[in-house]
Amino acid sequence: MFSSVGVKIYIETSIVVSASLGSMLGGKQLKHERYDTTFNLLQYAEQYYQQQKNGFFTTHSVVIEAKRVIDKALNSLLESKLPKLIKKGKPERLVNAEKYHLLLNECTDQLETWLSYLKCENYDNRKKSEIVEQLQGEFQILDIEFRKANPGDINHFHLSTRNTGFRRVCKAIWTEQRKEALEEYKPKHGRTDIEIMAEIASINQEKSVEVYIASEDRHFYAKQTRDLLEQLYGIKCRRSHELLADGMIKKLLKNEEATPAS
Amino acid sequence: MAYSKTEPSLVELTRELFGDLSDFICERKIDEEKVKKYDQVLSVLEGRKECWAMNTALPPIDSIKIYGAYSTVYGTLYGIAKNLDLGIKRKENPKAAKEVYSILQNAVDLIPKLEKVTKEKKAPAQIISEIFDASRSLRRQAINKQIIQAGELPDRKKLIIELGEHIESNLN
Repeated sequence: MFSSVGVKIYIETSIVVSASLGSMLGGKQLKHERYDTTFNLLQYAEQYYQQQKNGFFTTHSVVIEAKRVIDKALNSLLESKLPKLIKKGKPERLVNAEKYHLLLNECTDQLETWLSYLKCENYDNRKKSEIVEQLQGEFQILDIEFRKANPGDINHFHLSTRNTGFRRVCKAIWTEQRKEALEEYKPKHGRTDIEIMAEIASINQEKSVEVYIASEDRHFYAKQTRDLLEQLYGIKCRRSHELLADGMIKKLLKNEEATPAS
Repeated sequence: MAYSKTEPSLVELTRELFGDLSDFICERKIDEEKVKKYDQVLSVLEGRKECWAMNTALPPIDSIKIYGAYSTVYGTLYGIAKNLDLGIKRKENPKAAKEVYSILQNAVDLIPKLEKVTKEKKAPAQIISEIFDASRSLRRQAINKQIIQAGELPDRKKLIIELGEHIESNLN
């Protein structure tokens, strides 16, 4: 069974994942031109936020994640250009450094503006506790169903925070097409197994892309391992993704709108 | 040490500038000779900027952050010197000095952190992040006080397109 604390952690981080990968990008397949340039990512998210679309959950974690994307993107840009730029003359090198510095500052300014919107807005926070409560019940049912369907594997793959073995395996996720993007969303320490699998499922809901699971040292695990994980967790995670992205949250938000909080 | 041993310590030089500024306020007079000391500090900072522009000793993004911090301090001190000069010409003693007091203090506080990062010694991510935050706050303060101009990025679109192309090529 889930403890209430465990479920809360799961839901909040999963909302971030859903927001980052699904709702923030319109719930559609990720598109290069939308995702890969950080400016576009921020503008798109901001546009959603301003329109107060329910699909977009604004959290500070999303902003922090976006900051990581910016750093990562700029870093890889610099890495590819660096050898060439170093060879160039001193004045040119200084001009280029200044240009990157300004770009970095501009990115950070955008993030800070966005963050300031979030600080003065409690639109999403009102709904959080209700969503947590409703989903807690759903996950308990789901957990029981899952245990019934997979009686033999429960001891090895317990769906709780104690399953550190599985967590070690899922340190990073990639797809063939979206190495850059998904590398940013590698699971963090201390997250529960179901979160990680929900994340994988949310990326791979249509099975349109190959999802690989990699270890901490970034060696890809064999396809067999992936299949085993998919077999064990696939149903549960697809279900949790559905709850988070399409069903439960949207329904709750509609109810919230119909009966505003007193 | 990463920087030349013959070079005077930037930390000491900037502290001296701050001491001078306090004197200007106490004595209600900006000393023209002391304002000339800024040239020496600016030339040292110029060297630091050059050293960190696209440096390979740190990850590129970190080296840009260090470069940016030196660049911001350079721009701030340049603007302060200009303001003090203008104060002398306009006989605004010590108004000009009072106006730049807090911003010089922040710039002087940032220098010791920056000087700890050398090419030989890798700085922890935490220190880089602290330096970045402090330099951005200094930059904002300097822009607000019109000591430096807000940077324009004329070819921002071009850079973004390049960024996109680079990532695309990595993915393919």
